[in-house]
Amino acid sequence: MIERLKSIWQELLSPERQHGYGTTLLPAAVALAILILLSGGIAIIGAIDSEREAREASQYTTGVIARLEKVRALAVDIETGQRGYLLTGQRSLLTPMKEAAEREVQLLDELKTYAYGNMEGPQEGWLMEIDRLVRAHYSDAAESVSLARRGQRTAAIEDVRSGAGKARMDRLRALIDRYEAYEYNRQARSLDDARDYEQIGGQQVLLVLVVLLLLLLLIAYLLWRNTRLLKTETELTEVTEAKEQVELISRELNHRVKNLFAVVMAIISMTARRESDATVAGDKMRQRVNALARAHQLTIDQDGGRAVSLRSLAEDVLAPYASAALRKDVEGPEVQLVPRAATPIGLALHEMATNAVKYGGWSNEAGGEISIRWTATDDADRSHVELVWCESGGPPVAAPAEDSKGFGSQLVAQSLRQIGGQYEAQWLESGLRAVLRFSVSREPDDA
Amino acid sequence: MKNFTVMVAEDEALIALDMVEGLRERGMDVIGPCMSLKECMDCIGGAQTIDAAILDVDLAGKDVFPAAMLLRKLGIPFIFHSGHLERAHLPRELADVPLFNKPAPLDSMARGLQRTIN
Repeated sequence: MIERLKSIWQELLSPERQHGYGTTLLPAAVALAILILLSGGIAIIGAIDSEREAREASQYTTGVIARLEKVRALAVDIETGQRGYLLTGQRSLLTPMKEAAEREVQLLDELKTYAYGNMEGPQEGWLMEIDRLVRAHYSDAAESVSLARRGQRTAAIEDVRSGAGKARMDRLRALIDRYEAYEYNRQARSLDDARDYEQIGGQQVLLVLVVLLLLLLLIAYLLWRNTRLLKTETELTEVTEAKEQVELISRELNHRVKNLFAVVMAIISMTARRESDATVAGDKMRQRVNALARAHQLTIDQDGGRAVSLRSLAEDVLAPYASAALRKDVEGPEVQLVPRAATPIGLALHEMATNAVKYGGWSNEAGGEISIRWTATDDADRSHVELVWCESGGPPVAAPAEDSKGFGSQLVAQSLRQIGGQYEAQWLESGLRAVLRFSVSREPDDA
Repeated sequence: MKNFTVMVAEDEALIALDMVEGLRERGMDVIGPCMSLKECMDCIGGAQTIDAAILDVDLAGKDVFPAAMLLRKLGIPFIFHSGHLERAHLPRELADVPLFNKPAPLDSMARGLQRTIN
């Protein structure tokens, strides 16, 4: 049974139902509680009322019985006065008898008034009978007294002895006993009723307290759950926002990956076009894809993929070939490149470095130097960079003929164009001197 | 006989170079590569006659569509080449233009160009 109630309760409050029942459960519970409180209140008022009734009934019974006892006593007084006079002839005994009789009539009237409206059954009949008996008793007594006063004392005593008066007196006593027993009985019944009501009232008070407690618990629970639901809602919003962010990033990433595939395909087909030897072609492809990968890696390592510094890009490009004899000199102010600019500049510097190793300043193992120095001029939102690449220590180089410009210099020129920059090369006696001019946004999110 | 002339609009240097070389290998004359919308508009308005064009949809962050509309007005056929665009995102008046998703082999793009001319 308890298990079943528990399962129903859990069902009502299960998370799937929260939205369905949350709004109807509270009003229903409150309505039920109000009903129980109302019925409890009525029962308590009933109990108090019934107790009051019992108290009143008890007082009434006491009043009736006290008067009935007085009636009985006065009847005895009358009888005593009558017999005393008849036996002794003392006239002084007649005064209390007369007084008792007057008092008796008065008392009976009082009792009738007192009991009026509270008589539910045989009491009225009994009262009339008592009244009749008392009056007859007194008139009998008065008659025998007047008989005695007229000198017929013996006749009067004879009359008393005949037993008519005694029978009447017995009847009066029996009637009073009956009346008293009836009233006692009635009092006991109303006391019983009051006790019953009191018991029910007590139970109701307990029930009301329990219901109030449950109601308080329910309200506390609903408040708690409401807070939790609000919290869940906030979390849900956060999750949705995070999801949207992830989708945005994933779209951007997808775009970049597709572009990267296209770039790799271009590297493969361009290298294959130039190199008939498969091993050489493979080496060059590997080197160029590797340069691409490194430029990409730099954009991921630094600043959460937002920007890469020009210095680290230049250092990274030269590092694989540099040695004690093949010196590098990298110098310039801090410039941050967005990924969109870092990849072409990285590729361009890589091509220039491989050319230097093959034909230029670093082609002589005995020694040589590459210096990369740049200046940056800032305007409102962009940095204009002028980078000078200077080779020395290599064999004298001549400018390649215009129509046979190598893939390397084409790639460098086009990479610069890609970011709106320019590439100029001078082949001096000492070696290549190239100037790269480009501008980058100082806002990390723009190109 | 005059060679067939193709304009290439592509902002990724390596891809652009490869396309230029590949198209030349296939016996075409190439104008470009145009790496920005401005260069593209300049080429279309330039002295050289253009027979067809391959347009990267996104040129340095700008949509190539104004250039496409200009080509259409001049009656010059063209195809789109894009890394992130889907057909549903094309402007309605350009919805019939062939769309090649990056990375697209040059051969299939060359064939696509031929089809738009014939």
